[in-house]
Amino acid sequence: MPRGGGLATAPHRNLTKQLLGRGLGLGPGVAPPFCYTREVSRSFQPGRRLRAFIAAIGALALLSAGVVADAATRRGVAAAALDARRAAVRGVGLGDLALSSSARWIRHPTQAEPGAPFQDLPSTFDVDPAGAVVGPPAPRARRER
Amino acid sequence: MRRQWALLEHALGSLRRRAWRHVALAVAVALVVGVYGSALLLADALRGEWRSTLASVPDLVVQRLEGGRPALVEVAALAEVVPLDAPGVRSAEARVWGYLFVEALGANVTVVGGERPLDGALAAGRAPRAGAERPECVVGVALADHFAVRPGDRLAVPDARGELVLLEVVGVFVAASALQTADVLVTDDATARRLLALPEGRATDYAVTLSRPEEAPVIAGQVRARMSDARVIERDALVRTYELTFDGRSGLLSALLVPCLAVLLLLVWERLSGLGEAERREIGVLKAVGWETRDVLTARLWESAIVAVGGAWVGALAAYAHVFWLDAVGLRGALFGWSALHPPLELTPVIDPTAAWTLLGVVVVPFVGASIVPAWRAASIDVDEAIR
Amino acid sequence: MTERASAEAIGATDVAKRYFDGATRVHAVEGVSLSVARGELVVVQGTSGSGKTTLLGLLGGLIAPTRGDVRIAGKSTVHMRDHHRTRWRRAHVGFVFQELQLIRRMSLLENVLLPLVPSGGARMTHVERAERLLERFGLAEKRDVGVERLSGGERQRGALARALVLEPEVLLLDEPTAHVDAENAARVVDLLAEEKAAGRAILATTHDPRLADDPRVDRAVVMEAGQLRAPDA
Ligand SMILES: Nc1ncnc2c1ncn2[C@@H]1O[C@H](COP(=O)(O)OP(=O)(O)OP(=O)(O)O)[C@@H](O)[C@H]1O
Ligand SMILES: [Mg+2]
Repeated sequence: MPRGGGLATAPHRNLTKQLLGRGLGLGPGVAPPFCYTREVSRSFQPGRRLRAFIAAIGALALLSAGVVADAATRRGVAAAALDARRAAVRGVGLGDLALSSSARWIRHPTQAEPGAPFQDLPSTFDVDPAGAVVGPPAPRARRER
Repeated sequence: MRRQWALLEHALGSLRRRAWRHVALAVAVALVVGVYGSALLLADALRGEWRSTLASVPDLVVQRLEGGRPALVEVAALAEVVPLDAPGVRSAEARVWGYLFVEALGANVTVVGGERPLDGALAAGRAPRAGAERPECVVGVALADHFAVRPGDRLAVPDARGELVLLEVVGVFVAASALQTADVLVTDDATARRLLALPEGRATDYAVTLSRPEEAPVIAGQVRARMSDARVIERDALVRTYELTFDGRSGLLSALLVPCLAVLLLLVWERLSGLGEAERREIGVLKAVGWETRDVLTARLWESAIVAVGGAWVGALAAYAHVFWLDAVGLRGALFGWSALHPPLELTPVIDPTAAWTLLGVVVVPFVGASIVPAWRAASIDVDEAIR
Repeated sequence: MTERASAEAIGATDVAKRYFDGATRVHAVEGVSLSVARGELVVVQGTSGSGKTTLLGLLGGLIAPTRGDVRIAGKSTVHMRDHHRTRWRRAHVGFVFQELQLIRRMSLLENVLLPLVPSGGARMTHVERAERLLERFGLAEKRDVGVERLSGGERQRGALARALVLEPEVLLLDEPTAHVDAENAARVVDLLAEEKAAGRAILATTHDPRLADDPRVDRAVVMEAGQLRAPDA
């Protein structure tokens, strides 16, 4: 038989098995089944597909690890700056985020007026939800004091 | 185990044979998860930002209502309104603060007056002192950046009557507090009154700090009893209001996404339930060569799970990248409203596991279901279609 | 009788299949008894629509009979649970379909190894066996070619290789020479004869005299309107 029996191929197979098994973090007993050596199956390697799949998962996992690391750094930075932020809020006395200015409650939604017509309270439904997406015409915005 | 590997292998082959369709489906899943996830991440991060400094906000804010709107309060009445000697009360003050529209900025500046304890809150400089020869101020980073001022520079701000007031910048808030202080200008009491056109003896509201926050309702009740036109805002109310702001906005955004999700599922169902003739035939062949129904379904499960989980995974990563690396372009407008003074976004990721699981459950499970059902129907029929 | 039954690899007793097509009732197979022993090559002839494919499906356990009994490798498969029958069938019967039913855009070798997937995929021995089969069938070069790019004769032999990859005792073939030229037909017949010599029971339907009249065929039966008839002398 030209294509080499089990004896000739066994070492290769074990090597691939070990490599794959290690790469997957699986025990030595649970290596994926498709580990042909080149001589037995020249280009047909069903294992190739699995390997590509595992590589894709690995890439995603790596990216995820990057994201987790990034999140951790951000948390670390934020934790380090927390005291300063708290001091700033304590000093100013206003805790609202300097973000929303889409309506008359401007940037301190928690300090809004409860009885006004066209309730500006954030808990009320936005009278003009599009206002959050589309800016006012420029000259109007200027006159709005 | 071997069987699963083999079926997975087969599923991968099958995915590759219909690569474009599956890529399109995965992209659709990624898109829905990505947009939805961005909204969630951003809203959660903002909520986290707000919560982290919550403890520093006064426990009670007392406003006076006039015609249903906040009106100025008497500084002198503070002792009458707030039971300063009550055991829970640590301190109380009449605050001078308000908004000042600055033409050059096209935005409102939050002016805060009085001697503020700013230790540890400034990146450079010191707190403003009253009675200096030139009025002093401390500004937030967005203001400092916009006017390109540093401690020692001067800043001309128009007062409420339009006359320019020349302020000396003596400090800048730490950049880390930009979300809270970007548009804040702290100055002494007299200058703040001038900028805001607040008469002497009046103030914007009273702020009360308690030594035991859980007594807030009791103290609030006492304040209401002493001042009939008072509106007392407990910190709890602030919390609720605030959570609702971003919940409301991200909820609105999410609601807009529900149709997207529906469309995606419809697409999946339509694409897969009308299992092409070729695909039905393929299932028939598999059964005819000795696959059991559960083999066919397991391979199918792998197939759609790879598409759905892969798509969702990519979508989740993209959502993170979008919110934290790309500053949520496109989404910030919807969540923040317009503002000429957006602080630089340095958000801290907060991941709400329930929301994440819900999102996955809402996208992945129906997707897999929608692709399994037709395959199950095709796989449980007789194989005699395949043999002729 | 007993001697024959012991050698029997596949058999049917008074098996029938009726289709209800709306108001009309089709007696595709009506009371057929047949037995094929190991090492026997039997040919089923008959006009188009006489029920040959249906009979083959009944014998192979692919079609549930309306009546009668089917035995594969000594076991009656009629009352088996579905998945038991599937496994039994996979272990003992190789089937070549009239339309071959190779999966397009899959390589030939993958198609050949398809029956192995549910039992854990191809192991070394399987791949080697499949490669030997392909080599024997003159398809070694076409191993990695998508089946949609193979010629009719190559596909025919590929389907035969798939049927043989699990080394079944019984080989059922539906029109194995229908799509091929004289040379390829002769080749298929040779292959069948080799398999017969290897001890397999082979049942093939055909209206092709190249197969039916081959001297290595042990027996020919004729189907007519769903029933079996002794061949004309
Ligand atoms: N699923 C079915 N539903 C209804 N009628 C069927 C079905 N399958 C087969 N038949 C009918 O049963 C009869 C026998 O069909 P079968 O395929 O066994 O013929 P055949 O001998 O193989 O013909 P050919 O030589 O053309 O392949 C035909 O009349 C066919 O129309
Ligand atoms: Mg037929």
